[in-house]
Amino acid sequence: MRETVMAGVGMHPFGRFEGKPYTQMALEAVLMALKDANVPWKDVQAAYCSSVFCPATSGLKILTPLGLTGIPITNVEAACASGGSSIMIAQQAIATGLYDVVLALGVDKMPRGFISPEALGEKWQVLAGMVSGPMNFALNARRHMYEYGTTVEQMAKVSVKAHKNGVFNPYAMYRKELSFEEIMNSQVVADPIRRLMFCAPNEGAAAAVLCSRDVAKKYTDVRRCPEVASAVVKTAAYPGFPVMPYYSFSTRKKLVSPVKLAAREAYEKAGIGPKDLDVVELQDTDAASEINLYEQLDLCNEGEGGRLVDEGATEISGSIPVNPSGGLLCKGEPVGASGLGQVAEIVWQLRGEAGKRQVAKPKVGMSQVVGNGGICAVVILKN
Amino acid sequence: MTNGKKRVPLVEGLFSIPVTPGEKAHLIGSKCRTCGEVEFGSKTICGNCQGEELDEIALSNRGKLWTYTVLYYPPPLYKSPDPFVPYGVGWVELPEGIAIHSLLTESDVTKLKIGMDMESVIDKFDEDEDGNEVMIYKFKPVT
Repeated sequence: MRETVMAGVGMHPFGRFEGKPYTQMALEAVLMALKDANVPWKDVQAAYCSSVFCPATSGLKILTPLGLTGIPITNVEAACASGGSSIMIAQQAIATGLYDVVLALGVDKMPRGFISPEALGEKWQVLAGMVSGPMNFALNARRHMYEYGTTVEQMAKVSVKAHKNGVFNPYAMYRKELSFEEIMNSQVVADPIRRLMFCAPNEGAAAAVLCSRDVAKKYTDVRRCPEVASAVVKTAAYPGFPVMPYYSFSTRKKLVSPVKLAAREAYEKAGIGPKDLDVVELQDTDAASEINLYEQLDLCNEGEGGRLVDEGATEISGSIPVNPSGGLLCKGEPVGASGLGQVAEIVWQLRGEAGKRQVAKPKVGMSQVVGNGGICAVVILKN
Repeated sequence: MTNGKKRVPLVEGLFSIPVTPGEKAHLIGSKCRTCGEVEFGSKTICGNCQGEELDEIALSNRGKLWTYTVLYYPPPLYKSPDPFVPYGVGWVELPEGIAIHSLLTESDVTKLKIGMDMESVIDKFDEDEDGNEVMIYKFKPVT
């Protein structure tokens, strides 16, 4: 297998851009990534476009203004794990020698408010009010509190941390610090989770140019191109994980999280362990999920996620900084673009280009996204 | 059953509708003859071992609350009462070794507790165009 590197990344800010078409947002991110990699468009041999809410053949529509070059352009959809899935496919194509230069891009322009449950569950479940992201996050949060004594205060602290970091991220939608009290006193949306503990679906785009290491040398200084040490996508295994819209799950067997499956395989393929990570961007759709994910990614033992928050271990200055970008809580979540946005952040962190949100001298970073039905993508990058 | 109006399920294959007063709701399960795993609803393939010999069983009416939440905002497309009222949702663990995703009759979060005893009920959800009562399963705290 050939070594794959991230030759360049680009991002269009996440937020609300009334009147700006998704094609334009995505094209800006692509041009930034191509320029960053110093790769001419005509040298790109394949493109994978992640989106959940954009129309059919969105990848082709986005890239057509660059000039038709005859390459395969494939749309990739895997809910919130779409971006990570594109990276996985691109990395496999390079590692196996199929291509030398591949573009992965992600974009979405989502309706305001809750994500529509229409595509997420069966019609009767939707009518009955049984399909909702916040509902699902709340159910998991309540169980975590029961099993491990995790507190709502710890969830609020996660949100405080995110908003402290987001102030320094020009690509984030929310760039204002929030106090612990403001978060605790915001309306309860789905008990126990408050409004200011949720991320917002929004709009944005991100892109990455992946190359084999040898070919990357032709274009750029490979010292600024982190290696894609692993890119893994997994779904849950029986009896699953209580992610909507299951009818039931077996309680006679231990639950199997797709995140744990993906993370363990990603560590193994990268030849590292969780202790080797210096920076992590993970799927903080809500503050409670972030705590749960610390455990599923083996950043700590099961049940110790809350303690990690109390100790400040996941702050930018902590022992394992998580979401220095401000996470989805500050950036918002254009689902097709979020995974690539994380990857862009990790690349900037590993190059030391993250400005005031820079983690001290990171060598290894992880991006993790997980979505509806239990699809998880984990990407590990290293210098 | 007055005026020829019927009680119809919101979804087929998950529960029976009690006919006589006092008759208990009965949720439908599928038990695999090969591995013994049980799943909610009428199924043709076992999710554990992919066995194709499954027996339809009546699930226990009683279980314990595994987790819960109360929603204070309506999800999009929810056929909510007008005006919207907060409602409870949870997972209830049955003695057969499965947890079931269900609406709860209780919407006061202070009255819900993980581990509490729950029983299944069939509740009116809506009326269809013909005036039939559309029914759904829920779980109710045992008092």
